[in-house]
Amino acid sequence: MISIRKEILKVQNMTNLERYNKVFTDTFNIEVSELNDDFNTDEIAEWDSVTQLALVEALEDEFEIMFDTEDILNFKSYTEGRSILLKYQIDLEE
Amino acid sequence: MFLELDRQKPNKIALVDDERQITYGELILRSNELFTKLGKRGFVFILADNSIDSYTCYYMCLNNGLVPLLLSNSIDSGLLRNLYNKYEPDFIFLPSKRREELELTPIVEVGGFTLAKTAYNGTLLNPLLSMLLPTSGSTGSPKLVRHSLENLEFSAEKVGQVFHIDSNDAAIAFLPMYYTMGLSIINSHLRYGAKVVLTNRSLTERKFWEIIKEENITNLTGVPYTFEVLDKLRFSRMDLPSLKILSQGGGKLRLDLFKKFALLAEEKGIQFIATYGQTEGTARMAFLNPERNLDKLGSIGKAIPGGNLGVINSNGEEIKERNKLVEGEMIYKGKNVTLGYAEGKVDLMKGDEHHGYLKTGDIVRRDEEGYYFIIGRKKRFLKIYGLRISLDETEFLVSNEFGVECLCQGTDDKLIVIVPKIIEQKSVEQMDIRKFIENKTGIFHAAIEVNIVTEISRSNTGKILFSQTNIN
Repeated sequence: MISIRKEILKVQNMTNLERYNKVFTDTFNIEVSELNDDFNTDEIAEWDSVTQLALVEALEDEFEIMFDTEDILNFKSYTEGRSILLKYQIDLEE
Repeated sequence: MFLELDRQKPNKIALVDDERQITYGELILRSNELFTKLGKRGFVFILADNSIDSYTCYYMCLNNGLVPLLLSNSIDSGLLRNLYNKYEPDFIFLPSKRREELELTPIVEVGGFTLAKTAYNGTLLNPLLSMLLPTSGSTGSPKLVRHSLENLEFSAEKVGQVFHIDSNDAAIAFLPMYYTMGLSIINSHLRYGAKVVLTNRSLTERKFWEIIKEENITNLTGVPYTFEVLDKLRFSRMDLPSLKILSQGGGKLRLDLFKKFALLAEEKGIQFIATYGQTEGTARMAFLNPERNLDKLGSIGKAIPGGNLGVINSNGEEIKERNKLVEGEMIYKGKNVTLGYAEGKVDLMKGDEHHGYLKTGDIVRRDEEGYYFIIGRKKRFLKIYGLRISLDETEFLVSNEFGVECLCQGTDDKLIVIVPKIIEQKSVEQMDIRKFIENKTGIFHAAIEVNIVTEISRSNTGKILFSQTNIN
């Protein structure tokens, strides 16, 4: 499995939301301004099964959590991801 | 009749796709109807997805002596035109929305597809030729593998024996049907009256797992990347009561995963069957008896029934000694060895160039008990996520697009592209090259590394010197 993250972002004094966004921008090779409610598997052609798992893995590494199968399968949008993370006590509003 | 489908009960379900299902009787009927619309034989491009409509068109061809070339329904437009101009097919089956890309006269619409007449007529085909597949689906290589009817029939029959397929089985076919192993899964199951569930969904979709349960899938076949995904999705915790066989092909599985799935299979009371194959051998050529999974970890096992594996030395002579550890290039003998390659229209007239004997291009070790282990590839191909990537093709594509000299190398999880810094005062951007390769081949960009070098060293015969090309 490819891990695209080169460093743990946590040490860089970023907020949870910044870390979450950074994982997306690194995974999809995009600017943070492109992230919004429409950023999902239906709208983003690059969001396929390969990116899906790279994304999940990067988030697991970043926040030191482990998703359940259900949550991996449900992780289909930028917005949904935020509520999934909340289940693992990662609050992006903090 | 192709795959002897007329021997199956006509009212038994043959195919299920994301929209509907059809029986064996209906499959035969529909393919016959489709053939009457054409009224003649010829050479057909099929831009397939995993659907009943695409397979019906394929079956129509094989059952009526038309020769199909299977391609992806989402093949890049430029690559399609290249192949179209080079091979001049008589007909094309393509998504209706892509109809305008070529100069076509539609004959009939089949679901979301259109079967159309092209401007070309009467491509000469060798009577042995029955089907063509690209050597590399992803780079849209114009180099094709020529299959005979015997290749396909033999392969379907023998692969079915390996997995003991019967009419109670149900396979999930999510690997694309234009990919040799994807097609092998479909054909081998239909040959034995099983149900084949075609899907374009991926393993990371909830619906995929609902299908597995609803359709009582017994056989799931994947490539190494599939197993990475299964592992990631916590396959160990999944409850899939109908599943009997988990089978792997399409490249070398990481040893730790091999072991993990061998153990998991034991625990769950299912079989994990590792196989080996190539397009040139109509997919499967070898498999490992699952009882030996743990003591022959990572092995591709032995030849499928009716086939023979061997090892040749650097002089091309077969090493006959058994009961002894040997290394060399693996060869395969069997009726699934394809006729040869085609690199242009005239090659479609060629007959059998291999005569059932294939040099696989894989360097192997054969142990004292006759089990084969792949060591490496002789030629320059990578398999990334099960996509076969030709390094030569990729170099060619990049060089053409950017007007730069380009070197490709890498491993099965990373494609490394080396380009010189400045070409005629124009600087080349790493990102542009990555995006381009991603678009053309479908490889996830993180698996592509672009290195900009000052210059590429060459020997005086023009051969690239990898060792002397400094990567910054």
